[in-house]
Amino acid sequence: MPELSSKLAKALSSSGKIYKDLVKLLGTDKVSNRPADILIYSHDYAPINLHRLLNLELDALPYVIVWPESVDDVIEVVRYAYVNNVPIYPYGGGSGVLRGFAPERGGIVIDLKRMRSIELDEENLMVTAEAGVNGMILEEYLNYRGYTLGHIPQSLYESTVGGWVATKATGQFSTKYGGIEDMLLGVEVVIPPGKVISLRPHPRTATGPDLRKLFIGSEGIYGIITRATLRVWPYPEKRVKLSFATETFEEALNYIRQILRAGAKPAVIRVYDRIETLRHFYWIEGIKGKSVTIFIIEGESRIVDAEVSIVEEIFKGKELGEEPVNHWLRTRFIVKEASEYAPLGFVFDTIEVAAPWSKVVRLYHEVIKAMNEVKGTLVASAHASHFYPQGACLYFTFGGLPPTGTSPYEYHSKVWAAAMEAVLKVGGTISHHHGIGRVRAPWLRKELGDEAYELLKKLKEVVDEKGIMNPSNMGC
Amino acid sequence: MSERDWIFEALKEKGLGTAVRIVTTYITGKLKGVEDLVKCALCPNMCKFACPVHIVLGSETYSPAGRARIAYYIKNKVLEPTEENTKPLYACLNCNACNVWCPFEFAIPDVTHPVKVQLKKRDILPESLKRIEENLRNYGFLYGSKPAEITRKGKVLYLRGCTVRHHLRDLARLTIEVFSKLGIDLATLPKESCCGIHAYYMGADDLFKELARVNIELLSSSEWEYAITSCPVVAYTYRVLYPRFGIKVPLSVYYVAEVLKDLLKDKELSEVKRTVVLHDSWALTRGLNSSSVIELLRLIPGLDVKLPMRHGREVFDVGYYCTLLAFIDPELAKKVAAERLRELKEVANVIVTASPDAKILFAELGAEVYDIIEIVAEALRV
Repeated sequence: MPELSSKLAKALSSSGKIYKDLVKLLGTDKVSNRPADILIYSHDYAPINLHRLLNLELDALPYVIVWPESVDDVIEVVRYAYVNNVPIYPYGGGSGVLRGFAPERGGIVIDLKRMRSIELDEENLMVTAEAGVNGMILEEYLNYRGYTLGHIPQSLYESTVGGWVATKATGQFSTKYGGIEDMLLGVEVVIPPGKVISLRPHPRTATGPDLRKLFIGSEGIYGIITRATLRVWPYPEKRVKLSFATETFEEALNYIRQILRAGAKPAVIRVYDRIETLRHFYWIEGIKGKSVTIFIIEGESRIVDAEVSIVEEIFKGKELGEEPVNHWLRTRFIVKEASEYAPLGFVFDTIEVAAPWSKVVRLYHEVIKAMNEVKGTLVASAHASHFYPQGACLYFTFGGLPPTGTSPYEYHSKVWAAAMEAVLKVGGTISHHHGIGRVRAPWLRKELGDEAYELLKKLKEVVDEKGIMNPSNMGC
Repeated sequence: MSERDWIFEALKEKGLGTAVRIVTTYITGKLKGVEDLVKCALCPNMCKFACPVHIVLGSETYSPAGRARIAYYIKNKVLEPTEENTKPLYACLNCNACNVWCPFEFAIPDVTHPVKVQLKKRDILPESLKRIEENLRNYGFLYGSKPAEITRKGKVLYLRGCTVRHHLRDLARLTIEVFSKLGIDLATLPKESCCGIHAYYMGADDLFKELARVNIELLSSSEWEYAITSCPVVAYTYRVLYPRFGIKVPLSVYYVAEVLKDLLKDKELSEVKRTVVLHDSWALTRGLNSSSVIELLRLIPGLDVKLPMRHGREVFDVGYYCTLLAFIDPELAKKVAAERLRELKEVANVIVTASPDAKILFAELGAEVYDIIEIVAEALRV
């Protein structure tokens, strides 16, 4: 019998009372301790988890899963967990990549996906969505009515509104539309011991410290996000696609810095280093050794025209036309490598970080070098995909085969450690948009500094005095 | 340069020897060996937003990759193949919504199929499905013994499908009248057997092939020019599933709209003054890549046809008797239908559909719903 079966049996034997109590509160339809559900709700999509899944080495099995259908259901669960000291692990789309969801202490998984109402306010350009609304369904809903949220993470098809807020997500079109923190106008959260905080949506508000921000990026450690009001945009009237090849990655970054300085805000800007250029644009003749940059500029046509002229004036690369952009649009949600290479023993992951312009190029070289120096690493590459007048996000990918005698988990940890230390040494931030989870937690204190980190922990103690909300996530 | 050249180029930095060793051992060597079930189980589940059952239940266990993971755990003996544990493999609309978004072009019913076949060989099948299997084995009909019918003669064979024969007989009669008005006599055969798709969904491949054999034998007569059906799933089974099993179909089998859109092109039709919303059938739009229904409806004067948010290849379909859902979890089938009905009613109150299951479900939920043949009959004044 696989070892996982014994773990499963243990989780099942621990679930009895909690299951019965929650059934009394919510009814059988919303509660499960079925073995299949316990296994499925044991991990998020952290790439290293693929090895756990494949090798039947899952290590965090919950006792009970609940699917609340209203904020009142959520209150009941939080109240129960508080009184009985049972950990709660909120679950949205399960697309997190940092083990932000990992029910290490058993407990209750609360999957929000049955809370999926959407209400569009066309006059005020706002949409209010319950936490479990799927990203793609929300975007399709808005597009059908002539709007867009402009929030298009690669996880769009899997992730949820609640998950976006909880992880401080951003999307592929962020240079124009911003990250979720720029979109969030109002939020509803259930915190222990079962209280509802409802921060109403306003275009702006100066009412003390912005409490909405307490929950953006909170990754479930304070409470459960149940509803969010987000700003929306009229669906863009015009879209222009441009692409260029430059001799170097650095050269392209420099042009983009100047474009943003001039005030243009293309929705999408992506710059690929030499390896990733070949990976995505191998079909362009003579592209080997070059760096490709793509742009999507969209919105009201007069503004788009002005932005296009700024980009064309500043960016000096060789013009490649629309096709590289169309290729990216067609392939941007295709994630095949995970399924193809993990079964062969390859370990891979992505690491997104950010830095001011003055440090971006050094950050790129130092992190690539650090990842390559770990024994077993075969490939280390990057692209830059989110830009600000002050700096940029670098999105690294590494892949390798653990050396003999090293487990995939050990090899994975070593590369992460090397990359994180390199980022901190250069002075970048250890996360741009994937968040912290349990994978990055060891470096959060160093990132924030002792005093800020202690404040974070104190805030956790104040909001969640019994430590039942996603315990141990972010090291809290 | 080709799709995977970047790997070799990147590996070259580690030395040419390493590059050659990795590429020949792993990339070109073993890659093809990874089975579909594993690929699907390890996928980030990018298709799940399109899965009607997953959306309604909100459960990862009933998402496409979730189902693949369950099959993987059963296969690897982590999960016992109990009725409860295997339910996610069978409680599926089999609507291939996942296929539209899959980078590997998988559909979850096909991905989990080998595991279901293995379970069936061990005589493991949910109790609620055993009765269906018995009906199909004993009678070749989903609902038990076939209804008493007379043989009708005609140039074109009419395959009605089990659900139309059992639940929607008026629809079958109307179809015969519509074609008769167009000068085509439809032949019907009391011996017509179930297309067998339920057997496929259950993993009972022997039964599936036997039902196909009986049907192919009936079709092999040279009496008919072609065959039509009122059930898109029947058309899909004959045109996609039978060939997949190496079964040659001797006659072209069309869903009625595929024929009617051509037959009605130059006909004088009466106005049907109505605003309707179209509920497509996955078997047509995704399964057969056919837009025949909307093409047909657009020929009808006065008919204002609206499309809901999810239509065409992206249709959010419903399923009942043409799936296993009606037998394994009918309440779930109704929840899925209610979800779709809300979306349709945001567009128009009157629904037109090509799917017999949708007609039954939406009517049960109190909606005003017409099969396309009823609209055509009105336009032809049948």
